[in-house]
Amino acid sequence: MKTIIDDKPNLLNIFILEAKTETMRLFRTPGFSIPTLLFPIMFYTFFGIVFSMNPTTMPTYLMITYAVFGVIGPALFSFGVGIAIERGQGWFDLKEVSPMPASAYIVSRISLTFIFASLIILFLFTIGATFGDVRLMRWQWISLALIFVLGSLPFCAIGMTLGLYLKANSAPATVNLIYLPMSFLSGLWLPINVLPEVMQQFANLLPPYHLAQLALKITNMDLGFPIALHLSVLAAYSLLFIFLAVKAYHKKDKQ
Amino acid sequence: MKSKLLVITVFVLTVILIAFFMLLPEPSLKLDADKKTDELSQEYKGSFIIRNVQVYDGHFRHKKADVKIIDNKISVIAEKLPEQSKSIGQSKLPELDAAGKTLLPGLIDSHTHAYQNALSEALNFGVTTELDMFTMPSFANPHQQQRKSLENTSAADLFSATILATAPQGHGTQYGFDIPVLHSVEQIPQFVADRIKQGADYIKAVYNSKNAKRQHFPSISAEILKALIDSAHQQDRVLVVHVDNLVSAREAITLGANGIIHSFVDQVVDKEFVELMLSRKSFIIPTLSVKASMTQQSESEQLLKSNSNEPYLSKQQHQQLTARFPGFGISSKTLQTEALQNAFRSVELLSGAKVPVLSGSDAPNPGTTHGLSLHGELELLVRAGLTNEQALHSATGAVGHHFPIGSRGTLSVGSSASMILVDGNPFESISSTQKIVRIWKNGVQFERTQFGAPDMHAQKFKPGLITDFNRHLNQTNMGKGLGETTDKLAGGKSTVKIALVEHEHTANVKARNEDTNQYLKVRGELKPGFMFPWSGIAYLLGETQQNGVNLSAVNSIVFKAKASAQTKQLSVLLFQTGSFRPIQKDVELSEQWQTYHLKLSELKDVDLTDISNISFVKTRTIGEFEFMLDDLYFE
Repeated sequence: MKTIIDDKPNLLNIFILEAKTETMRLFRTPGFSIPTLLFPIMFYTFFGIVFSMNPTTMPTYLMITYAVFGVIGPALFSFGVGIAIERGQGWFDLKEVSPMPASAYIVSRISLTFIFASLIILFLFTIGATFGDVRLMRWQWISLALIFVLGSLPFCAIGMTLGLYLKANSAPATVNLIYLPMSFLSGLWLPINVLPEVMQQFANLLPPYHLAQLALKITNMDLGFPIALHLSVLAAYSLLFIFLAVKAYHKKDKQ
Repeated sequence: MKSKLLVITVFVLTVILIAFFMLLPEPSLKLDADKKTDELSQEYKGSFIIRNVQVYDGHFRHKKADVKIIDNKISVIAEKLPEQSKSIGQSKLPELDAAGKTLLPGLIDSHTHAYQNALSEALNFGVTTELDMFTMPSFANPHQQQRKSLENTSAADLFSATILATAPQGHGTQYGFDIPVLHSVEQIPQFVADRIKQGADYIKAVYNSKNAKRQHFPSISAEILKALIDSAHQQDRVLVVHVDNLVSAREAITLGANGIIHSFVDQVVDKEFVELMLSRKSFIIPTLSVKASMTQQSESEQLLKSNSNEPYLSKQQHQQLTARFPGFGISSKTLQTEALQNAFRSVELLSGAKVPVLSGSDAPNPGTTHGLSLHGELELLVRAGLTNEQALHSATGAVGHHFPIGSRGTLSVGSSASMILVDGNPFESISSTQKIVRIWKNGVQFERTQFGAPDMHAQKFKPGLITDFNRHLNQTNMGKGLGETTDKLAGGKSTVKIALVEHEHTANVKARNEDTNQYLKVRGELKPGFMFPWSGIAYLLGETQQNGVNLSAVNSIVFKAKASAQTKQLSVLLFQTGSFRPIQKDVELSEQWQTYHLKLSELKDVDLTDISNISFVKTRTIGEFEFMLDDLYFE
């Protein structure tokens, strides 16, 4: 019988094991899985399909923006709330001293985010296609899915920073306070152009707005700003928050 | 083991994902050919943008412009409109790229006589406004109401003089309408007030001077004309005068008329007259189309054949275009040629001196028809010496300077989007106006009616019994059966009652059937109310009124008939599909049963391949009538 001690540590095995346990844990935490999966789907069904302002374009447009809304949720929560709570419980420290590399911790959470993101995308696509009559070319469907999944990465960075700074008991509320208004102001709930001019200007500062614009480019529904702009804003946010996370991590060590 | 499981899991997930993405629906793909028809059938309605188009706005030419229409009105005409921002809440306006085409205001025909389908026929050729110069108020008034609404999108807007002002037995009285005529100056204020009350947008008078060479119809006096002009002007109405010679025109303008109708065939305008027109700021509507037709030089048949105009003309319009005037006194060819040359030369001199010229066709006089003839008129005006731009102006922007038609004839900001898109450049070739690509009336695209070639598939009727009246009236051996018909259809008041009656077994009637032997008894009363009162029975041949049948294999219509003593005359009317003017054949009936043979070959101008209705009616004589019919055959 093989044991972990006998073998040279198999990195892949560790990664998979960590990801698997984390996933199982999250699925067993209905407080996390149900809202993150349900909210985007519910909102999309209401605003995008049932009370659609314009049945020809709205279902497509909102399918995309709610997918963005959907994928940034797990990123913020699994990282932000997850790390904060584990820190509070001391679990984070325990994992730190285990032989598991830190990267496994991060990779497992990223893959977790990806899995939830994919599930949300699958649900939204199915609802859009069946009830909203969304018709897109195959390459559009696939590119959208890729953009959404990869687009969750900057939000993982943001989540990580939040998780390292926030206290366990205040983390869920704080993350929600950031997540929901930011989504609304970025035009994920309602088309950005129905918001007042000032708010549209403000949306430029918000990363979900840029991710949504990138995705909307695929269906030619964006506001027409260059791709490079959106990409660089997202990259800047990622770098900034990775930097902040690293800083927070080291600060924690010194405590 | 573990890695195997992993591989399998990854594999299964991949397969599921691929399957999912394969299942996601794609937009239904169309072949390129389909796309093209799609592009053509795309509707531009209400709010849309036309790009890269040459625009003539009624006054100026814009070689390349973008036009934005918002809520059925012109919103912007600009050299280049910015790209539409891709907004979603309100969807993007549809855009029509019209490079190489020209956008014109909906055309205005400044001289027509409107009745029946005139206004939809006009719109079918992009004429979105008609100025009628004599029709009955009963026709004009509803249409004058409708022109106020943006929803009037399936017919041209109508402005009308309603009943014209003429002398007893004068021009205008010959059409059989019961119209008021002018004997004295005292009548005038009341006459003008009545016209305005009945909806006249302007007043039209017919005048022929006592000093004119030809005195071919009685005319109102110069005093009456003067009183008409003054009275009209007091009531803020434009007054136009129908003339056919220079002498009368000179007098009319001197007396203060705003404009004259018809160019002159008697002589070419002189310098003095041109000066007079300029100083009085008067205009002329030359109606060269009808002048050409009167002098037997109409080119309406070429017009009909060119630029694929033909399919868009109804059968009746065909007849109108190919109809010809009788001689009109000028019989020699040289004189006729000269007469038309005078008309052309007059137009050339007047327009050369910048006297306003408006185009009018005088449709539907013989050789002209609503809609298409205005395009013909533009060609004639250019031939007479107008530049292409002047000709376009005469049918668009110029009209509003003289008649109270609002912004019609212009594409200006805020004007309703009545306009036509034509292929090519009418500034180079005026006949381009006939290459109509699209027509909009008040911002709504008008689907042009195509009448097509005569229906070759029309059912062919063979000789045989139609009915012996022993069965119900709607059961005929061919066709859709018989039924009542009266002028109530056209607003009249005549009545009819029909009944199947048993023959008395008298010696001179042989029973052909043991059980029943019936005939049809038609009785009723012709009452005044419609111009041509009728009452009787109609035999419908086709499945519907629009489907005629082919009677070319039939020689005669045969029937037995008799009538009451005072009835005597029975009219047989043959209706061609789509036409309201039947071919009429009268039969004298006696009080005894007799068999009548009506030879179809004796009927003139009838296309037997497309007959929708044969009616047996009493016409003309007002009063009660009674006639009987039996054994109706085609032979």
